[in-house]
Amino acid sequence: MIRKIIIILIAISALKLITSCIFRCDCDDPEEVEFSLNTSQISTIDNAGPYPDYNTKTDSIPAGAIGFNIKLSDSTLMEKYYMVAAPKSQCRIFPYFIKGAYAWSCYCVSWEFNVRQKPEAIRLVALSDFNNEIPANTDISHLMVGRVDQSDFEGHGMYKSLSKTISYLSEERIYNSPEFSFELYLTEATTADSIQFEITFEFDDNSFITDTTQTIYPLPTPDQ
Amino acid sequence: MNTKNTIIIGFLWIFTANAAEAQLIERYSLDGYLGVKSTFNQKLESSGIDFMNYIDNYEEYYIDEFYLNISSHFWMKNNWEADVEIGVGSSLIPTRLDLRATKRLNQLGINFGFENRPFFIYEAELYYNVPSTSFFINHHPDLSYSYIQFDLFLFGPYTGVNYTFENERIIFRGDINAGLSFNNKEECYVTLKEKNSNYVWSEEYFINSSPALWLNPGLYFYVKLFEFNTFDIGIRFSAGYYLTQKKLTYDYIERHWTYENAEQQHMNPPAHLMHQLNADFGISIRMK
Repeated sequence: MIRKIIIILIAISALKLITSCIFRCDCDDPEEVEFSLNTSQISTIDNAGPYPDYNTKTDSIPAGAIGFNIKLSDSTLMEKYYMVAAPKSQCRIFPYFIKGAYAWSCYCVSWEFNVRQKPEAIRLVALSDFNNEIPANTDISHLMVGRVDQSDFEGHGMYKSLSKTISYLSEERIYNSPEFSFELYLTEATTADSIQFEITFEFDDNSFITDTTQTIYPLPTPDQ
Repeated sequence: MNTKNTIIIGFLWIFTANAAEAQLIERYSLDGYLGVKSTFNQKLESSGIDFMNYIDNYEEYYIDEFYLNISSHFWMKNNWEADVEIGVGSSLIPTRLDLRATKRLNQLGINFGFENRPFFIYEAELYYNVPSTSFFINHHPDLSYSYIQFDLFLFGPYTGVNYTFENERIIFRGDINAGLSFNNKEECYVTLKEKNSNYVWSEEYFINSSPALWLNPGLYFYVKLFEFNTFDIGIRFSAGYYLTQKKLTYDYIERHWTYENAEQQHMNPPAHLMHQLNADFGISIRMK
């Protein structure tokens, strides 16, 4: 008899746990917020080590290991919405058993972000001679690859070609906040002593943003 | 393989129950035993990764691994005997399986069987972990899982002969079996990044199933200790030696910079001479 009571209590608890999330999330519809990509922020990545260093303090980076972390955002909305948005989901499942108290819980989303324009092209121009064959102000977009997803196990940690990077950024998706960031890496080492790049982002509404990187002082690649 | 094992075990259980009911089984025994095995594997040079160099590679040349097996021997009508052996290794997952039927002629018998013998490929990505190379193995927690380790099963049919001496108190059995084994297919990859460079390179491996011949002599010894009305209890000891020459061929996709920039190739590494010694000790219950 006691065993039956325990089983019934467990079943009721389990049912309550599951249904509390699926059926009882009493959330208001999220406010739809449209945003425009009107601001860019470019920081340099030192990719000399096993993993990218996004917080490099130096502007001297091995010539073959230069990358850029790019953040495109809506400057008018960032202050209001930054860090408060969440994915369009009212029910979050936390897979960690230890945090069992939060195994299933409601998470009400206040805003749902839709981007007005999407990137259509990215152009990279070296403002000084890249090497003996590529003079200053030449479009070297073909020397770039991208990385857009920080959990890209399926891609085996490889880069995406520039066209794939752009098409990924153009996909219909819900943005977590009025910004998104991605990375660009050069596939060739520059021989310049110092170099600056200009990056232009072209959007499908014919708008564009142009930004320049900080001056980088490439280090000659040491003998391997 | 575990699903297959479960199906086979289920089938055997049904078969055994029906066979006992139909009085096909005259008597049977149940054994439980703990053993240890050591694998000695020839290390060979290769122009690419050779997974056989990383078989049971916890130490450089061999490993002592424990195993726990249960087995059952059936004495059946018309001088047939059958054996079922199931075992777990250090992972405690049942991976060892041996099914055998024996036609007893007198003290000699002819064996027909099927076995699955587990091995483990361990940290094969270390092929690239050479201090002089200019590459890092990419173990980035968010990007790449470049750990190459997997179960390798060698499974297939076999035949052989055995000699059995049996009296009221002891049983001695010597077997020599030879068979054909195939390995399970497996997929894995490693991603590498050049030092002081953005260049990344990955290899994705598709290990093929390939055949190998093997030889397996073994000894079994049982001594009865206690006798009851319906069963006897005794101790058992067995030991075996397994010899094979095995290679793991594979196709691989080599990628440079991007996932799409790929070319497929084939690798045919040399065959490795591999041998394994095992010995175990346990108890046996013999139903009368």
